[in-house]
Amino acid sequence: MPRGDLAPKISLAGVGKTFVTRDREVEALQPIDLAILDHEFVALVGPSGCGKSTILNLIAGLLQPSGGVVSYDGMAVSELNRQVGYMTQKDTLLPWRTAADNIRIALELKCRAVPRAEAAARVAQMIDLVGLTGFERHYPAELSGGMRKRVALARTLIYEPETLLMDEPFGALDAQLKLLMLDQLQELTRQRRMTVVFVTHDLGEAITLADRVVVFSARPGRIRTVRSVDLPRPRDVFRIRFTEDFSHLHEALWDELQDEVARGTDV
Amino acid sequence: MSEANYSASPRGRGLGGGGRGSAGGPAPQPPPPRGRGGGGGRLAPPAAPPPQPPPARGGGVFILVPAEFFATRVGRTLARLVLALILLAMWEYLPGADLRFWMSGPVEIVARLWSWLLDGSLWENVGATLSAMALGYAIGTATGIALGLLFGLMPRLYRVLSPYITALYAMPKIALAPLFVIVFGIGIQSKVALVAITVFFLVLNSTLDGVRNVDRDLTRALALMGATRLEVIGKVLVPATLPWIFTGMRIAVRYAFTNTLLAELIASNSGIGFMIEYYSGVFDSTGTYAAILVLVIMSVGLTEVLTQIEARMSHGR
Ligand SMILES: Nc1ncnc2c1ncn2[C@@H]1O[C@H](COP(=O)(O)OP(=O)(O)OP(=O)(O)O)[C@@H](O)[C@H]1O
Ligand SMILES: [Mg+2]
Repeated sequence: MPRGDLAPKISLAGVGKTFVTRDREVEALQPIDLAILDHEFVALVGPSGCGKSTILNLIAGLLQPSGGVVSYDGMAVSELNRQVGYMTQKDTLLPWRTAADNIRIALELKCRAVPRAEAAARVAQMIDLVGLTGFERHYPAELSGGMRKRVALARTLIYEPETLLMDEPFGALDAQLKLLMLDQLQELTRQRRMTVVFVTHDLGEAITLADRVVVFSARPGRIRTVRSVDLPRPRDVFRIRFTEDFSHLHEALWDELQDEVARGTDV
Repeated sequence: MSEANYSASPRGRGLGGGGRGSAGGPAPQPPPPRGRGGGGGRLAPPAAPPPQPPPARGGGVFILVPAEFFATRVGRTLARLVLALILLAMWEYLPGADLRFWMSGPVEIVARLWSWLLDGSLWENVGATLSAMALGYAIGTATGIALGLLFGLMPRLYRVLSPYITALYAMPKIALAPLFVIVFGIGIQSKVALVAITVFFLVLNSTLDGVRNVDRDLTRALALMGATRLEVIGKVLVPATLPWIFTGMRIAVRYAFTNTLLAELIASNSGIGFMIEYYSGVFDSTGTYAAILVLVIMSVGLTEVLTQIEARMSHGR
């Protein structure tokens, strides 16, 4: 395999984050170390408020750490990191653009300058991929929460960033649709050999997709466990849940997570 | 252009404001409709019928008609017409010779309007008012939007300048009118300057509010996709701010109209405000009322146009 493969694509070295608000300080993230390899799919799970979104914001360069260094391709992330495509927890669709126009927006930018016809074809393909055919001309306000999520997903996938940051992309979807989306996502990220950092509350989703699952402790966030998922690829997202390996892994991780969720709600 | 003859004597006036007699006039003059400044949005009530004899509510007539009649469209229109005719007739026939001097009368006023129509002075002055208003509005809007966006993008620059901007915004711009007359003379420029500066601050402020209210997450999302600063402005900032800009522009129309008029009343050599000021200055009540009537028609027209535009805009999403 190419030598680059083992150098971390993204590395967090002693990275902590404390938010200072007017009257108090919130330690969102205790210093953590985490290295994510090129083409790797890493899932972050943990109780609400443990700093998962904060980590993605740090990688995207939207936040600067209070301590430690976040680096990308070996360089410290000191400003917006344009190598990543970031699907945020709260969708950032433009309310005055239709679904199709929202999805296309990245292709309109000068740094890509995709010809109109090609852009239209790619938008159509994305609409199909996320199952929104017939809703191209709807405005975000006219879409359901899950539909908006899918528009946001399509908008991020369409320009094929080398790294994907996804913050609970499928939280608002029903189980059936979620599986379909997971299947598409696996297919696409494998094809394009993307590096993915994927935040979720759904352990099953994490195991289905990820090469490694990182379990965080309740706030202030620390890494509690990192588990490799050695299930062969490509994975059958519809059936893999019923395999023995899957349930062993699920059970082990569930125990870890449950402790933390319990702790998180105690506080 | 200002050679048209108003049926009453000489025109044109020096910078010193020679003919501004109304202030020192002997008789208790009917105050010209000044002071529309503060209200901004509101229209002056129809100025025509002076507060004269107690209008006998027409009760006698109405008793003969069933009340439901006035609930119909035709009934209401008819009632209004009758009322107007009664008031006009009273205005025409009741005042004695001494009252007539400052009250004039409907027939005379209409005759004066007709003569203005024939000699072209009506269009000339309406045109002068409207073009000063439009030009000032355009300049004020363009600069207000441009600077609003600029300040929105450079918050530090804005923070340095904000006390000055707040102070200027708070100041009643009409106080600058005499200054503009000194600087620009009594032609169109001083009117345009007054309108432009008023509109400028209104639009600047609403644009700034708009820019401040743009969701930072949206701009950051686009920047993360690789958008340049200009692309972020064009694709997020401007579209997100547009509704705010439109609100400012809509409010500013009425201010522009009022301030054009005020500028003309204070010192100018053309326009409807000038006509009102001029004729009251020479104690020509017929001319004054006729000019006020023109103003009323213009105000109603402007309101109508605005209502139409607003209705159209609220339809399109
Ligand atoms: N801008 C901010 N200012 C102050 N505190 C913040 C800010 N952003 C996050 N926090 C705090 O940091 C902690 C971690 O937030 P974060 O959004 O990373 O949690 P999360 O793990 O993504 O939670 P969830 O699963 O609910 O999305 C929270 O306690 C939150 O209150
Ligand atoms: Mg989060």
